[in-house]
Amino acid sequence: MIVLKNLKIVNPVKDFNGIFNIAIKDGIIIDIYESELEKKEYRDFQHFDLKGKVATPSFVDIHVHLRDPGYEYKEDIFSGAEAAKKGGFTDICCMANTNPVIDNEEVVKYILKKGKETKINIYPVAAITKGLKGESLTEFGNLIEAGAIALSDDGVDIRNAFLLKTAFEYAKFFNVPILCHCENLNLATGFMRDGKYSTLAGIMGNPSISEEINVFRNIKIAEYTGSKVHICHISSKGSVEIIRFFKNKDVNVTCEVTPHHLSLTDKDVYESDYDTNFKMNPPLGTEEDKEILIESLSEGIIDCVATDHAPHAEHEKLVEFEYAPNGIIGLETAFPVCYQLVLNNKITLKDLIYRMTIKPAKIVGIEKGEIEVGAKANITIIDIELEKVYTKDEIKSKSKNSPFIGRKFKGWPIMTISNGEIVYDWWYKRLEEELSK
Amino acid sequence: MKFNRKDLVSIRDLTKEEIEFILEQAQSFKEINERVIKKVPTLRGKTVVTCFYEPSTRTRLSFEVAAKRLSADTLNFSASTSSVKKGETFLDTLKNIEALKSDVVIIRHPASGATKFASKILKASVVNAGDGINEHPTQALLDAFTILEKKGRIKGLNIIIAGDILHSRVARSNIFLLTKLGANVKVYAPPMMMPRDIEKTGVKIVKDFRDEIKEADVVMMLRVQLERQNKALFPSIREYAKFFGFKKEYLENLKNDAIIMHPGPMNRGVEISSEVADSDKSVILEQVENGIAVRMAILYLLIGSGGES
Amino acid sequence: MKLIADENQLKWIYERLAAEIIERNKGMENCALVGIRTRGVYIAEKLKDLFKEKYGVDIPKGILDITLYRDDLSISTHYPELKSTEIDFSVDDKNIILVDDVLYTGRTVRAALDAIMDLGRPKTIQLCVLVDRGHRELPIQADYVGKRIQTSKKERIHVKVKEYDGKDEIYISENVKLK
Repeated sequence: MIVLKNLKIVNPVKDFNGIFNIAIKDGIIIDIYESELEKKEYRDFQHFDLKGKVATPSFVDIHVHLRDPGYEYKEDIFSGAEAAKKGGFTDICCMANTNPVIDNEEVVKYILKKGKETKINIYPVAAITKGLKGESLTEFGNLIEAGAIALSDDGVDIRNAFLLKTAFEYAKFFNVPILCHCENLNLATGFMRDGKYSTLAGIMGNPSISEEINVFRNIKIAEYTGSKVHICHISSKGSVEIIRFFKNKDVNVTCEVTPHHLSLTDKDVYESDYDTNFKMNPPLGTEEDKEILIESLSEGIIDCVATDHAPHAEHEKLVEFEYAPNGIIGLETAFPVCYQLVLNNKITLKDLIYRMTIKPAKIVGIEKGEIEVGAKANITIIDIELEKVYTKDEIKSKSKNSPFIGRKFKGWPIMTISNGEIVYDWWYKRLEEELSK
Repeated sequence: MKFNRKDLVSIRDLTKEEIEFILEQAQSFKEINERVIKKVPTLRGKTVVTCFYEPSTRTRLSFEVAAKRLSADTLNFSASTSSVKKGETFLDTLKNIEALKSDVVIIRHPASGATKFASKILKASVVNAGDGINEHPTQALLDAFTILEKKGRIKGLNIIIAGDILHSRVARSNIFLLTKLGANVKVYAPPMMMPRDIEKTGVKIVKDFRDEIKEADVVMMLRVQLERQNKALFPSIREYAKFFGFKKEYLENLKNDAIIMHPGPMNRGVEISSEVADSDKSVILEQVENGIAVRMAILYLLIGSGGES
Repeated sequence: MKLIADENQLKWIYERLAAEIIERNKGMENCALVGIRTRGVYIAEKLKDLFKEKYGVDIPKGILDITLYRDDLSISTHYPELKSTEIDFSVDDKNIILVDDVLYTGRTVRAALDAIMDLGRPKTIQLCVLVDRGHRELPIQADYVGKRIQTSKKERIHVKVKEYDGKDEIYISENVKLK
C-alpha cells in the first residue's frame, strides 16, 4: 500500500494536467488525485514524495537476450531483470538463442519459473526452427501453450524461403507474431556498414542491402500467407522504405528500432578505433539512415523501440574487432538515449513513451495499459532533469559491453514499480540517505 | 620536429609533418646499409619482437635486419591463424610478450584493427606490419621514400595504384600517405575489388588504365591474392591478366621518367608481366632495399630517443 | 655573459691549431679531417681552408653524426634528430683528425671514436677541439686545444661560427640548470 506523491503523469493517450498523487493497493492503481488534497483513507499507506518527477507506464522491451540457460556468465534471468528494472522496464521478451535453445516446453517453463522470482514479467520467445538451425520447425503449439509469447530465430535469418513460408502459415493458426531477424547471409560478410567509413577504417563492409532484401522477402512471404510479421532492429533507410510500402498496402507488418541505431552511426565505429562495443548486428548505419529512423519513429512507420540487449562478457569483447561477438547491452540506457531525441524536438515525450510501452506490448500481445485508476500498477518514474554520466560501475547487467559508458545523458529512470511494488529505487533511497546524514 | 608517438599503427593517424620527418630520418639510415660494417650500437639492450599471425617472409626479414643493424635483440613469435581462434587469445599472447620486457612488438595480423587493439593494451611500442585489409604503414613509407628518391618530390605527382584495392592494406596506407603529401592519386581495380565510396578518401577512379598511365609519374601494381579466385571474386587468372594486369605493350605509353612499383611478392604474368617487372622503369628491388632504412628509422624514432620532449 | 674570444682572437687560435697539426703530421700525408656535427663541421672546414691557403696542402674532409652512438639516448631529455654521416673516403690507414667545438665530459668523443671505428681501421686518430673546459668523465684528452677554460658545471660555453651562427666568437653564460 503506497502513495506516490507529487508526480506529473505522462500517458501515451490520456492526459493529466497538473501534479498528482497515485495510490496503489494490491498491485492496482486505486486512486489518482490532485496532490493538494490530503486523503485520510491513505493514512496507513507508505508515502513517497517524488517532488514533481514524471510518471509513465513502465516500459516494455520485446527484444532482449537474457542468455539463461546456458550463458549465465554473460547474464542470467536475475541480473537481466535487475538491468531491466534499472532501465524502467517491467515487461521483457527474451530471445531463443540460449543453450539449450528455447525450442521445447521445458526451457519455456524454466524461464517462466525463474522469471516469476524477479518480480517483473519475463516472456520467452520461442525458436522457429529446432536449434535455430533453419532446418525444421519447432512445435509452435506446444511452445505457445507452455507460455511462449512469440516466435523468432533472432540472430540468424532463415535461408530456406519455403521453410519460412511454412512457419508463417503455421504461426497464423496460433495467432502469434513471428519476429524476423532480416539478413541475407551471402551478402552480410563484413563487420560494419559498407561505405565511406568502412573504407577508411579498413574493415570489410556489410552492404545495407543485406538487410533490405530480406526485409522485403520476409514481409512478402508474410503478405502472401496473410500472417503477422514483426521486423526486428531495422537499421537502414531502405528498410524503412520497404516497410512503408507494405504498410501502405495494409499488410500486417510492424517493426522496431534500437536506441543505438537512433543515436550512433558508422562514423562512431570509425572514430572508436576498433572498439568492439560498437560492433553489432545489424551494424550502425549512416547519418542519413539515423535521421530517417528517427523521423520514421516519430511518424509511426517504425512502431516501437526495442533494445536488442545483448550481453557479452568482457573477455569475449576484448578481442580483435573482426572476431568479437555482435551486440551491446541496452536496457539501462534505453530511455536516456532515446530521451535525447525528445530534447532535440525530434519526437514528443508522449510519443516516445507510447513506442516504449503500449505499442510494443500490443505487437506481442502483452496486456498493457496507461496510468489510470483500475490499471495494474506498473509505473516508471523519470527524472527528466537529472544529468549524469553512465559509468561502468553502475551497470547492473553482468556484462559491461556498452558504447555509452562515459557518455553524459539527461533524463533517467529513477524508480520502477512492478505490480504495485517498488522494484528499483535510485532516487528516493539516495534522498533518504542524504537526509539522515 | 618532434616524434613523440609510442606506436606506429597507421598512416591515417600520422600528420603530414610526421610522415616527412620519418622519410627524412630514413635518409640518414640508408648510409649505414652501404657500409662494410652495417651496424650501429643505437638500440643495444633493446628487445624487438616480431609477432606474426600470417605467413610472411620478406616483411619479417626486413624488420629483423633493421633491428639487428641497430644492435637490438630480436625474437620471433609465430602463430597460425587457426590457433588464434582455438587457443590462447590475442590479448593473453600480448601480455605474455610484454612479460618478456620487449621494447617493440611488430605485429602482422589477419584482422583489421588488431594492431591498434594491441597498441592500446601494451606499454611497449607497437609497429603495424599489416593488419587485415586495413593498413601496412611501413610499406607505404618505404614506397614514398623510393618515390622521393626517384622523383625528388611527391606533391603534384600523378600516381596510379592498380589491383585488388578492396583487400589491399598496401593500397590503403599508400592512398592515405600520398594524398596527405599532395599527390594526385588514382586507383584502378576490377569493380568488385574497389572499396565503396573510395572517392571520398580523395582519390579518383581510373577508367582506362592503358590510356591514363600516359600521364602517370608512378604506377604501383598490387599483388593479386590468387586464392580469391575461389571466392568468386574474379573468374580466372587469365582474364585478370588480360584486363587488369600491366602488360608489356603498355610500357610504350609510359613517360620516360615514370617508375613502376610493386610491394611484392609478384605474380609474374598476372598483375605484372615479366617484361614490365624487369624493365628499367621498375624500382621493385630498390623498394625492398629502402624498406630496411625506413624500418630502422621507425625503430629509432620509437625507442631510440629519450621519450617526451 | 663573458666574452672569451672575439673574431680576431679566434683567427689566431685557428692559425695556431693549423700550425700545430701541420707540425706533427709532417707533409700531412694520409691525413683527413672529420668534423663532428654540428659546429665541428665548420671548424674542420676552416682548418681545411687554412691548410690549403697557408701550406698548400689539400686534405679530404668528412662529416660525422654521432647520434646513433650516444650513450645518453635513453636518458636525454631532448629529441636527437639524426643527420647523416658524410664521409666519402675510406678511413682505413688514415690519420684522422677529429674536430669538435668543445671538449667537456668526453662522451661525444667516445661516441665519435666508435663511429669512426665502424667505418674502418684508421692508422691514428687525433683530436682537435676549439675549447677544453675540463670536467672529464672519461680518460680522453685532446691533441690540439684552441683554448683551455676553467669553468664550473653551471656555466655554459657558447662557440659560434660565422658559417652557421653569423659570427665567430666564444663566450660563457651561467644559464645551466643542474638537475
